Amino acid sequence: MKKVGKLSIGWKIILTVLPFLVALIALGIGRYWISPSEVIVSICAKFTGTAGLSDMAEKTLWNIRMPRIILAMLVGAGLSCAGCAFQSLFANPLATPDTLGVASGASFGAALGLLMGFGMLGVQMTSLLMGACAVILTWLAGSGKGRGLSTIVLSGIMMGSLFNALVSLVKFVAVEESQLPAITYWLMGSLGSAGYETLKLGAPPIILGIMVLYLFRWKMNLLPLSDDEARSFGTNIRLLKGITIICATGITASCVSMCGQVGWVGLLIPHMCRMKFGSNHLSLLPASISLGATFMIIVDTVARSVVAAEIPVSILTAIIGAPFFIILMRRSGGWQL
Amino acid sequence: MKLTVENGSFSYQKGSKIFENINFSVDSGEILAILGPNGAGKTTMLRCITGMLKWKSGRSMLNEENISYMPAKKLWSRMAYVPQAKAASASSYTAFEMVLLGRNSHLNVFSLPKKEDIEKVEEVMELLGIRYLADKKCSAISGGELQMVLIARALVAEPQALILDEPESNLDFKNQLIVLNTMSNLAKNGMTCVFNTHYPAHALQRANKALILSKGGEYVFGDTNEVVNEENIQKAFGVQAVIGEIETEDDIIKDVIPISLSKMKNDMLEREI
Repeated sequence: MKKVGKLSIGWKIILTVLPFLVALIALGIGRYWISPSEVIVSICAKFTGTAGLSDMAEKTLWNIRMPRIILAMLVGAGLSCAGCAFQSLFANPLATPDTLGVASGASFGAALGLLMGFGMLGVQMTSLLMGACAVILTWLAGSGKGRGLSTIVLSGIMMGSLFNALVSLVKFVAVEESQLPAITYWLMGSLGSAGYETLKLGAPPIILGIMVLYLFRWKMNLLPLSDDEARSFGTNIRLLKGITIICATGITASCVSMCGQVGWVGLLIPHMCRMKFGSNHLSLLPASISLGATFMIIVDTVARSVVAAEIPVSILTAIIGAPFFIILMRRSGGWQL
Repeated sequence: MKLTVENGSFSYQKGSKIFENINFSVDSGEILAILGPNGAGKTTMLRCITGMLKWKSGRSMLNEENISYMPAKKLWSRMAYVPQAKAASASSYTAFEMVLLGRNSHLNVFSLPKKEDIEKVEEVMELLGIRYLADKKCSAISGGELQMVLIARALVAEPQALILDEPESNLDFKNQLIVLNTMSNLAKNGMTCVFNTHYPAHALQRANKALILSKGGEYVFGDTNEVVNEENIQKAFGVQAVIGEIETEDDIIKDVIPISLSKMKNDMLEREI
């Protein structure tokens, strides 16, 4: 069955267990150290209702670290899954979750929210809204009879730069002492805002998007083909592309609305997975989701625990990601779509 | 499976007709060759026949059933399309994965390929003699091998009609023969084949019927031996050609050799004077 491109049993187990194992360890890491066994005790206690750890430990674990790690998992899995979908959709290895201008739009929304002095939820809402606006504008500008996907990519780039300019405008008018640092810091990406309230609004689009893309994983193999080829397999390729775009942009907008622009994950993880598992989405997509989640938990744990002040994740994803990626690329000789 | 086109007309823009009132039909076991100069619209013709482009008027029929009203899955499990090898994308799939994609017209939206799909792929690859390519990436095989992979991909859909876009272009002599022989064998077993070609000789050697397109939308259709003649070649391609016969041990093979660019009549008269 290997030829079909399904994951072997061994990989299936590893990829399923890995994110949760890493999450379990990451839950304990921080200035207040909790050992993995204590974490397990506490989790069991939640389910059975018996007494867990000390008050302090319980609070740190459940109110601070747990939502943050759930957020990291979702964002990592989501961005990596969306990146993978976009690369196949545009048959372009350089496509990222931001290709259609979603992330820029969502960033603008968040910056605007911060400028207006909205609370975290308000910022998240404006961000989601603007992300959606950006995609719709991209679609209106780029689609049309007889136009291909490359027109949409181009108009996505235009929308992206338009919204980036708007972000700069917001920064320009922001109050220098308070708002500007907040906006700048937020744009660099931080999972620090994580709370169950944030997750309630942000998690469903991500989970839904990933689930739909996962269900379509075999059909997604048709995405890099030319339209005529894909159509000659009796597939409604326009519908398939539409679904892929909706899922991937929904995931991206939702990620950005919760934790700012986290670069690199959507490019790095799918590439790594392509080198290891090939281009068949039967194995590529689950691998991207799992390793994206794992990678993000690790990066975020480093970001919050290495130095006293928190390091923005975008900086870390690039610092860890770029060299690692270069090593992998040189070893495997790269890949094509 | 009988493939018929009735009164097919097509234009990209209003006013500039590419084809007008095209009529032809091909039966099971027959091969139709579509000939024509660059830019006459051979590929457009194939796309119209298969319904990828809509005829502006007229229709394509599969066994008396209008293609545009057939559900995509039904249509594409009866008819299969082989694109030009150079136009094929997604070359990072292995040959096996590529061929397996052809089973899509038999799979539901969310279903994954099953054992019978895999067996079908293995059977077809064996039949075409490309089993050895299974684990190679499509970017790492030769043009001829890729063309065979694409034909295999079309065949795993178990079609009764096969549409090929310049299957033997860009191939060397041996690979041309392999591809053309494959097509002839398929037709012998009842497949309806339609193929585009740049080589009138291949039409003469392989096809029962031929359709010659000229720029401007004129066309001739009929039995290959009647239609592919020196006069029609000159009309369509603007080339003086001779058709000759070459005897081999077991057959007489027709060949077409282009001699010179055809000149305007006046021009020739002047020279004679």
